[in-house]
Amino acid sequence: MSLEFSDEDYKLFLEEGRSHLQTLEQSLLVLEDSVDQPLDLALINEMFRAAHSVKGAAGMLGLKTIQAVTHQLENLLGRLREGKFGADLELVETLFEAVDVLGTLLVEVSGPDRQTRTDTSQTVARLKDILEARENAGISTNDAQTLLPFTLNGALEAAMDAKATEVTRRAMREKRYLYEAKLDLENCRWVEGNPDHEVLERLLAITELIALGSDPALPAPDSPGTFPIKGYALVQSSAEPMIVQMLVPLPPDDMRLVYDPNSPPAEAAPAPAPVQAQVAVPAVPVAVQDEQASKPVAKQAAKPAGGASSHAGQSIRVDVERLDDLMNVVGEIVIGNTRLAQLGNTLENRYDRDNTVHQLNEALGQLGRLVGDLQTTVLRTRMVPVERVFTRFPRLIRDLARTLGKEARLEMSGQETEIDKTVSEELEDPLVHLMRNAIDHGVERPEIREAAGKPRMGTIKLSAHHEGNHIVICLEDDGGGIDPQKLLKKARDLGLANPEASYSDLEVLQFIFAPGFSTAEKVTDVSGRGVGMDVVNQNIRKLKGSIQVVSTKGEGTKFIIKLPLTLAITKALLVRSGGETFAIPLESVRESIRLTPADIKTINGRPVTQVRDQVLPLFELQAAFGWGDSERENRNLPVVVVGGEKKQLGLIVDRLEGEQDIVVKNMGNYLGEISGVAGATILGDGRVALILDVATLIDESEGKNRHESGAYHAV
Amino acid sequence: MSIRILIVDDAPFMRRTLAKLFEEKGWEVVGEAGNGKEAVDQFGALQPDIVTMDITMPEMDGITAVKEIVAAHPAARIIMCSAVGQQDMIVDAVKAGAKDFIVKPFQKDRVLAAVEGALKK
Repeated sequence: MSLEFSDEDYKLFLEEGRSHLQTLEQSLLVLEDSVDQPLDLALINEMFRAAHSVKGAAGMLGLKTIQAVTHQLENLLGRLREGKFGADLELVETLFEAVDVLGTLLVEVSGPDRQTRTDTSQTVARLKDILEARENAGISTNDAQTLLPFTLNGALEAAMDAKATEVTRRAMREKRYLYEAKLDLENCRWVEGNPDHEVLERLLAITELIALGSDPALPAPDSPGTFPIKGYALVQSSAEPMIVQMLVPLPPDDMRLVYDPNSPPAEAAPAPAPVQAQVAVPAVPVAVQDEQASKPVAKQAAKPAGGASSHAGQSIRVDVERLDDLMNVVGEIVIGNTRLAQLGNTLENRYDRDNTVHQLNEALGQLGRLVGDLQTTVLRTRMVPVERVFTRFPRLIRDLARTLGKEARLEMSGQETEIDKTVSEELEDPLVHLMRNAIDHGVERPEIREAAGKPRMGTIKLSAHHEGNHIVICLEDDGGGIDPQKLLKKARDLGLANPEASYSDLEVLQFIFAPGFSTAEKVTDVSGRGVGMDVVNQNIRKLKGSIQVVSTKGEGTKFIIKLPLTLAITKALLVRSGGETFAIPLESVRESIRLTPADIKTINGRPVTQVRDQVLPLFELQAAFGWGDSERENRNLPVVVVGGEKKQLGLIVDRLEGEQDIVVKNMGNYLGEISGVAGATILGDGRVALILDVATLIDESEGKNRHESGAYHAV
Repeated sequence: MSIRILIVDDAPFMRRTLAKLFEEKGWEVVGEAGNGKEAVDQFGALQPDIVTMDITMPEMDGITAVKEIVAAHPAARIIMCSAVGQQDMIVDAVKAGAKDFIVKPFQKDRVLAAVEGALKK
């Protein structure tokens, strides 16, 4: 191939490929749901386009396996689209398998050597077989034995087997032109399983080959080198002789019209079309418009392909890495700007009558507002619809329900709600886990549901919406719900709950997030290994979010996940302790108080104090992280109270330094994960401050006496 | 002579591939359209010497686009981009006024020859 392709090209190909793959999957789900209904032409068309696009690009890149699979997919979908036969479950399953293989192939291409490894011959064969089986379902065997009403060149006549004869008959029924092409071609070669030559390429671009009689016969497919093709080909086309002559570079005499549908030979009227009764898989009537568009899934399926391609002029694709880089630079600008503002203040204090300093500060103020705008704009660029995460769930629910012998459907809403790309990526695993649980433990078996007066099919609702600076995602099933009594007993057996204490139902439910907790009576392939909810909870907390569960026995369970819109920039309270500056994310700061040493009591060897009749555990920050000496100015101890509604902790520090926007940075590989530290940030004056991970600090401080603690609560 | 070309294809990858090929040759890609409707809109404004037109596209397919463009601009030179299995569509497009076609996966020489050939038609 004379074209060369760069990494960027491959990236673009993979992005497009993945998007088409999604279209195919989603459309297949809709198709599967509606096999007994008239075929939705718009849907099939969309799938056809997706397969077609991938095939085209794969062909350019020389990715033969992908090309082969998508080619067969396209063939099958094309016949479906033409109404040659209808969809049935076996056919849909075959399509699903092929689409799965396609997914694997795309993953392989994303590897460093850009090669595919999976053997696709079986997939291709399955697609071919099912196409042939459905197409031949209507053919009467008598038909093939009838003589054709024209004569062909001897070599071609010999090449006409039963199948070629049948195809010829069908072409005549469909009122197509038949031509006998005389070929005398040198230097042909095999390309992708087809003999290639410019004349042949053009001939076969506008006609379909029925039979080829050539002497010598063609060498085996894909044998190397070039070979001649000398002989005759029977081809069919919708093109009249004038157009064929215009488009195919063959002398007019070498392209003989053997059958003209406008004046068929009188003595050989085409055999009547086979009656419908002979058709094993009846051709299903085709619905003209997509009447299923009102279905939520169908609507959604229609979105990616249309949306991705119809704005070629208005949007561009940008690599996420570039956005991350941009975000980083903007973060640095924010820091630099904060520093400039601080310096401006210092100058203003020092030279308060100097006009230039005044003007400088005005300019800095304006710059600050612009930097703020820049930050907001860049943040918005990073926002993606949560749909990107939701999009694979209908398939997931389908597969899970099948595996577990349940019936379930997914209702989604609020897919357009936007969320930071990073957050959206981290969100997928926890949601997948919750979905698994919902099908495995939530939705009951169909017969049990019927006995309980519920519809056989369970419903899982997934929704997203904004609440202030947060996104709230709810996952709700209408399954059996959680029995709080059973759960409490289990929690006590596992030593997670205090045997004496009494808990509200809501408190009991939170035990499912405790490490090592699982109420599933048996472990299934899908879920129930006792690590699930704990990990979900940890993942959500890593995103500075919270998860809550509400459940009513017999009616269902609902999980509510609340996440910040972005992780990159956050407001923080800066404190000093042991010669270090720490940043405490503002969302976990409840208040700050001052204590005298006399206010500090000890319970079970732990320092505590009393705030408004509540016991507040205390934690000396310097003891955990401080490396230097205390900088405390007097005997009063500043304490920052952190935590959520239920669990709070007082952090004893040396000094409060005030509130500031901080850009969260990873600790990098040098330091790895430090317990209690969520990351680091660079301050306006260039110093580095550690960002405290409040949830972990609370857990660690209470870990020693978990038995006395109340319900586990995720911050 | 620089040839002014409008590329119509719903796949950015395909547009990019053709654009690179034309630009290497020193021709000018004056516009890219992602579907037939955009192609019809852009044709009037850009008046390109050549249009390469994909067939299967969302919103408006390539054949409909050929019909609309040729109806408004009878001298338009449009080359269809086809793949295996689109025989009838190419015939329809040519009946509708397309000058020629090229076949995916594109062979560089054949694409360039088709463009030069269409300019003489």
